[in-house]
Formats: sequence, C-alpha cells, structure tokens
Amino acid sequence: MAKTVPVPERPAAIEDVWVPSVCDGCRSFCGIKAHRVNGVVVKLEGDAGNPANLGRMCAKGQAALMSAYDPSRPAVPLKRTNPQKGIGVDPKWVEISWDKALDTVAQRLRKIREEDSRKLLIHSFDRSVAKFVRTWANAFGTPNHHWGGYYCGNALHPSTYLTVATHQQEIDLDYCNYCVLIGNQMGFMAGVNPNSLSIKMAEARMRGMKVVVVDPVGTNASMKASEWVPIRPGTDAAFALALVNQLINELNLYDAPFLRARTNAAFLVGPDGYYGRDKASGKPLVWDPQAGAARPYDAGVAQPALEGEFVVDGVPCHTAFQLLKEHVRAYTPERAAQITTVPAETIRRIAQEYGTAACIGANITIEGMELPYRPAAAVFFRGAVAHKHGTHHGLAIQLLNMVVGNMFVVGGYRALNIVGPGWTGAGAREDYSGVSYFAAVKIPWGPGASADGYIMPIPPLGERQPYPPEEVHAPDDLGLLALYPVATNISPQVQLSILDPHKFTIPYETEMLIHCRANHMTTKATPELSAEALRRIPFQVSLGPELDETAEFADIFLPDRHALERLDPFPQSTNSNMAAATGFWYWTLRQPVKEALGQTRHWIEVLFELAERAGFLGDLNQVLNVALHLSPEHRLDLKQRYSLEQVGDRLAQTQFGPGHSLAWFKKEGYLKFKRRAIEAYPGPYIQGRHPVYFEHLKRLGEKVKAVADELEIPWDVSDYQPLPEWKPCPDYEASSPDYDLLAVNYKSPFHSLSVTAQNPWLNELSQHHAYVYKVMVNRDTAHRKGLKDGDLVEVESAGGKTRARVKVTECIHPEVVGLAGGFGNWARGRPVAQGQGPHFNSLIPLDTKRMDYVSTAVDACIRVKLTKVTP
Amino acid sequence: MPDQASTVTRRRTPHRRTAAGPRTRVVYIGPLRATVGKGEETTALPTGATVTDLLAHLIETYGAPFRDRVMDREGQLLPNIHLFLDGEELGEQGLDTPLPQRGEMSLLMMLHPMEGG
Repeated sequence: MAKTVPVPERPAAIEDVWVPSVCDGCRSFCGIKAHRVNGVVVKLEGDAGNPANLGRMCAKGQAALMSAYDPSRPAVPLKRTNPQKGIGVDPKWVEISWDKALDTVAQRLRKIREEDSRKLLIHSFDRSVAKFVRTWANAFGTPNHHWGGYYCGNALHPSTYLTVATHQQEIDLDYCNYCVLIGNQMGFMAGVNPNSLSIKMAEARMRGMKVVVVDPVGTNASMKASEWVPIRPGTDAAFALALVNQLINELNLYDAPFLRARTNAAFLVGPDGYYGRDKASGKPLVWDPQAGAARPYDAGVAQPALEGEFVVDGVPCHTAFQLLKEHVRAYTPERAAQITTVPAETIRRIAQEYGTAACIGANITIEGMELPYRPAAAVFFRGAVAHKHGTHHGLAIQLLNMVVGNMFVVGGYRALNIVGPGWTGAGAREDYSGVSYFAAVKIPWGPGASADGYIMPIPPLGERQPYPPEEVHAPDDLGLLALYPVATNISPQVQLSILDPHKFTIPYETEMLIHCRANHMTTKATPELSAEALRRIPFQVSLGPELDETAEFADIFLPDRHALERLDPFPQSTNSNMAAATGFWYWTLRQPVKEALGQTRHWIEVLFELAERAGFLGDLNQVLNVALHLSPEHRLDLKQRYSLEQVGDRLAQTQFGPGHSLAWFKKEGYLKFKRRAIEAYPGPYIQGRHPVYFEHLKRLGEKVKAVADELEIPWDVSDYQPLPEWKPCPDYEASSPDYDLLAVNYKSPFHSLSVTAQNPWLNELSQHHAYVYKVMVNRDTAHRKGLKDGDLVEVESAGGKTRARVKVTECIHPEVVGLAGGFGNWARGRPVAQGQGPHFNSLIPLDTKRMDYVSTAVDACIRVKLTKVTP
Repeated sequence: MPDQASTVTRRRTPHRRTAAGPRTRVVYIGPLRATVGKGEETTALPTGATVTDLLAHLIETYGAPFRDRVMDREGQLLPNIHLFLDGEELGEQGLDTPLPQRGEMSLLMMLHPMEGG
C-alpha cells in the first residue's frame, strides 16, 4: 500500500507584485515588469505599454534573473594581497570594510587631484549612468574619462555625426520597401530597440519589403533576408561606391532637388579641393545659371547648377556633385566585383532595384503633411566600419542614402532623434507649435547649421559645437582627442598613450584607474597589451557586479548592485536608443525590484561619497547642476551630498514638471508621448545640409597634421579626404600562404558585450547552438583543409591565437572564418563563462598601422590560419 | 591661434592697477585645473575691472593652452565654458559685469561628452 506523504502547505504569498523597471541586457533598455513573490523575483516580462519593446523581451532580458541571483557575485569590498598582476594571476582577495576601502581610495584621489588631476583615468560602459560618470570625471578635473571597447567599430558614430549629426541610425520600417543592411543586423534582434524593430521588421517583410543583407557571415539577419550577399571583409566601401556609381552615372536614379537644396552637392570646388568662397562673406559659392554667376550658397539661388565646370574669378571650379560623379566612375561593377567578390551583375541589379524602390520624386501625405516618399535605405554597423579605413566605409554607405534623397523622410533613412519632442522646423505647419506635451517635456532640441551650411549635431556633441571643430589644438589627454577631431571613441589611443606617454607628448603618467562595467581585458585588442597597460597604472579600483578579467588587476574591488537592484533615473538616451520606429518619446525609471545582495552599493552612490571624502563635492554638484540642466528651484546645494534618488527626483521635475516626480515614475514606470509626423519625418524642415563632399575633413586633416608635426608625433592624415574611397585593409592581401583566411566576428542575438557569457541560461543556450561557441568555416574551405564538424582548431593570427570547435557551414564567405564576439573568458569570478567559446579580440594586434587615424577604428578583419589540434 | 583681436581683449576696460581694486578668488572646475596647474588662486585687478578683464588677465597669465580651452578664434567664450560669479551663472551678457571688491569667480569647463564604442 502506498504510503501517503503529507505535502507541506505552501505559505500564502505575503507579497505578490509586478514592479515596473528597465532591463540592462543591452544598451536599448527595454521596459520590464518583475514578478516578485515574498521578496523573490520569479519572472521578468516585457512591459506591454512601454514603447521601447512593446511588451516583448529577448533571451538576454529573460535571463537577467539568473545573473541577479548568481552565487558567484561578490557581496563585499575586497582588497588585493598579491602584488603580482597578470592574465590568470590570482589577486588573492581579502575582505575589507567599505570605510577602509573608501578611505584608501579617497586619499589617493585627493593626492592626485592636488598634483595633476589628469593622472586619473576613469571609464565605464555602464550606459545607464553615463551622464553621472562623465560629470564626476569633469568635477575631478580629468579629461581622461573614456576608454571604451571597440563595440560599435568606432567608425560608425563619426560617419553618422558627419552626415546626419547624430549618433545612431535606423530605417523607417513602417514604409520602407527596400532595405539594405551592410555589416549589421538591425531589426533582427540587434542594434537599437531590437524588440520593437524586430516586430517592425517582421511586419515589413510580411507586407513585401525586400531585405538585402551584405555580410561575410550568414548571420541571423542574413538567413532571414530576401537576399544574402556574402562580401569579402573590408570591402564595403567598394560595394557602396559601385552602387552610387550606377545610380548617378548609369541609371540616373538620384534626387536632384534634394541634392541641390539639402546637401552641399551644388557647392563649387576649386582645383585645390577647397570650396570657392564668396570674398565678402567667406561662404561657399554655388553657380546661378540664371545670372551666369557664382553666389553664396544661402543667397537664395532657386536652382543652382548641380553639375558642370564654372570659372569663378578666373579659377575653374566644379560642383561637388560633378566631382563625386567623376570620383565614383572608377568603381565599375566589374572592378568592385574583383574587390568585393560580389558579382558585377548582382551589383547592377541591386543598384537598379534600390534606385527604383526609392521612388525618387514621389510624395505621400501623413497627418495632413505632404512629405517626400523614399522607401529605400541602407544602414551599416560594426561589420562595415571596423576597419583601417573605417570612416571611408561609413561615409561611402551614407552616400548611398543621400543620393536618393531618403534622409529623414517617409520610408527612408533616419538617424536617431535628430529633433526632440515639440520641435517645429522652419516652414512647418503652424499648428505643430505649442503641442500639448511640450509644456511637460522641457528638453527641446534640434540640429543646427554651421556657417558653411553643414548640419550640426544635437546633444551630446552639441556641447562641443561646432562639430567637427574648426581649430585643432595640442592635446593633453590620453586619447589625444584634439588629433582625432571627428572621433567619438578614442579608446585605442588611450591604451597606446598609457603604454608610451612620452611618444605622444603626454606630460604625465597615469597613476590611477577607476573602472566599472567595461571589461578592458576582453573588449580590446591584444589582451597581453591590455594587461601591460593595466600593470603600468600603479593603483586600480574596479567596481562592478562581478569579478571579471579586468577586476583581477584591481587593488581594490567594490561590489556594485545588479541592475534589478538599482535605481537609475532615465537610463534611456535619445542618442543611443528610443528609435522613432517605436512611435513614441518615452522616459523610464529603473528601480530596484529585489533586495540588494550583501554589502553591494550602487557605484554612482560610491562615486558621490568619494567626491565628498576627497574634497570635491561642491565641484561635483556644480557640474551636475550644469550637466543635467537643473532648473533653479531644483539645483543642488554645493555643500550637501545627495543620493542618486534625490538627484534623479530633481532631474525628473526639471524635465517633466512638478507633476512628474520620481515617486510618479516609481508608480507608473514610464512617461510616453506619441511622436508627430514632423518628429518622425523632419527631413524637409531641417536647415543644415548633409555633406556629399567632405571639404571640412580635408581642411581638418591639414590642421591635425600641422599640430602633430609641431609635437613631433608621427601622424597619418591621408584618410582626411573630401570624397570617400575604398582602400585595402592591411590584411586584404595574404602575406603568407598559411594565413589564407580572414577572421571576422559577428553578433549573436542572445549575447551582449562581454557580460552575458556568465549567465547560466545563455551559456546553456549557446552550448546547444550550432554556431555561437564555434568557428564557422565554409564547407568548401573545410573540405580543402580536411576539417569536419566538431574538430578543435587553433585560430592563429599575427596578433595571437584562440581555440574553438569547427562548424562547417555554407553560411560564411569561403575566404572567411566567423567567430561570435563576447566569449573566451578566463576570470575566476566568472565560472560559468570561463573557457566557453573563442576570444576573438585575442587575434587582433593593437598597431597603429591597423588603426583608422580618423575614427580610431581598429581593423577587425585579420588574416588567420587554422590548425587542427588535439583537445 | 593667431593674435587676432578677440571679444575678450576688445572689451577689456582700460584702467590702472590700484591697491583698492577687486580681489577675486578664482576657482577652476574641470580640466582647467590641470591647464593652470592649480585649483584656485586670488587675483587683484584695478578698480572697475569686469569679468572680461579677469578673463583677459588669465589669458595673459596662462597663454595659449588656457585661451584655446575657453575661447573660439573670434574671442567668444566656448559653449562648454560656464562662468559663475559668487555662485550665479553669467551668460555672454554677463561679461561686462564689474567684479565685486571681494568675490569668487568659478570657471567651469565641461568635458567633451565622449560617446560610443
């Protein structure tokens, strides 16, 4: 007879709540709801009303539950006892009190600040609190506050800032009919607002939008695309310029009115490559066919000449567009085919399809506004631009958008949030001013125009207007930012400067590093050089939710809270997410949904306390008042230390008025407003022009060279050219027959940065996935080399080596091997991630010959050889 | 930067140094600390001196590295430079403000907001 075992009665839930907050699985910050029962979070779901993700949630977000309760999370401050530092070296941590740890750090800070504040380097890629990190560095007085990884490829953002004055980009998937993704997976669970854009992408594909993915790797996007175009790595500019050549020289599929009015295509350029300028005003000239004379570009010439040669004051000048046409003639489909391996007939066909789909000249009416309708666009990301000549690749692809006139119009290309809520462009309908929410959202913004007519950036780069700067001065920061005047990430240079400050005339040596959530050891090229750079810094403080590879070099470790334990006022950033595709403007509060682990503290609160202990709290509050644009009634008292929650409350009330305090956000989760048509499609009302000819780059290059020469720093300015071109990467040609393959990396949709590899659910998913922890080898290549599925191989470059199992596939270019990014960890504090998958960055040498001197991009396609090894 | 007449130098008030002029505690916030090599100092200027005079004095003292960080080539204050006189922020119009006999001027330089990876 079966024995009956009494089942213990489940205690009634004392607490059973759903709390709104914000995911931290990537940089898109989706709205979530956490299901908490008796203090334990048991489930995370997408917040259905939050436009960031429309209720959806990806694997990374769902799995955050596991990282929050990860038993390997450090819960107390730690002090290093092993003076030796190196890859794999045990720091021999011992526990230390918060008070002792902060006292030690504050004493160092005080000393450095008195001697030379530049000796402190601080960096984080904790995007939720970027504004607070920057203000803290600002108040301390160090210009050295950026040492990020090469996540986006570095050349992405300069290419977009130069052409569309913003940081990120998207396509209007509501109306687009022909979408070209070059080296990226937008809309396929990667990039900005992946959940929302993937829904939009799926809907667009269902209604018939054609998706062409140009990528050496058969990525998630490639496999779902209408057409995958495998391309040889580092040749994207040749592909794009060949399409432009077809559009403007062969097919006559270009938007002449747009080019005249909204770009600098009609500007006259002299034989020296510089604009012909009006003698009185100094402004660039255009040719007025009616008057038969040159006029300043803003003199109201109705229809300036777009093509041709004209003599101005005895000097022969061509229009910028004429020069562009002549320039791209070199990129015939046949030549491009040789460079890219994309067949010439494919290039011709795609150009025809793209140009035709753009519906040049068509208009459409939305919300009563007649707007240009250009339902074709191209976007790019790291895959296209993480190269020696990365900026040229980016600018070449942007030409593809500009020549069809699809900038910020229906169905076309749009950069993220070029205008803010309530923006009313010149010439727009009057009833678009004074919209109801304008009073609530007090942060209007829009692009400006430079004296030469270029579109000017919105914040954050707007702080440094004009962009790019007109003058170049001698730098004194580790990143030599002044010598990279269009760069937005100077990370590789920071590393080079730490290693050899005298070579770059840095008048000090870095004495202290504060780092949080930016794993330098794995996200930069050549771990051995990263280790050497860290060893050169006498004192390192790491903060974070885990003991990662970089923390293993720290002298003091301070445990940060997990995102589910943190309060972060408005982590979204209008320059990195909040895509127009969401249809809304929205601001969300991240709030704790579970009790904090042990003695963990929010690291920004720790920075605030350090400012007080080190004697610069007043400066910090002063900088916060300015940086956050706090209104007079909410400004911080310079003598009082505030919590992040108190600062966030003042920020909320400054931005959204007294009815929207932080308490309101805690209850409601987010504030959202529907975007109006003019905010989604501001193109016709933007005053600044998109450059198709980069005269200012040429001028900047000469200024950079002059300063570098004066400082006697060897500097290559040959890429500061007015028209983009394709130049081979250093590894385009094989230098040795053994190194016959090009290695590239790609993004897995269920991993982000270097963080998620430690998550047990995502690790399990990756272990069972056909590709993610493997090295992708083309079927024919594998056959030639005698490799089969599951073979363990060593992938070796001139920079280093890594190991992985082979996945034989047709989903990779025959000349290429593909490795997903973010793996190959070795830190003791990351036991789940340890030894899982290959470490791609180990293959990349940090070498100025492989660096883009415009953007600082480090070339990420590299010659490798595969050697079968025994486990 | 060429020695062109700048807004700051053009607007400088002509007067003679006297013992009775304003003494101003100048506080440097942000990277300007490193540019001038100190966090604060006290300046003595002639009677009637304005904020512009103080800036001109600092440019004279610290030369091109300081000037290039606070002004553009037209002599206009760069948009990332904020001036506070006794805690109150001065705009461009505030440059003609006479310095008080005993006052504090904070010069705050906002960092270039690096973004991206």
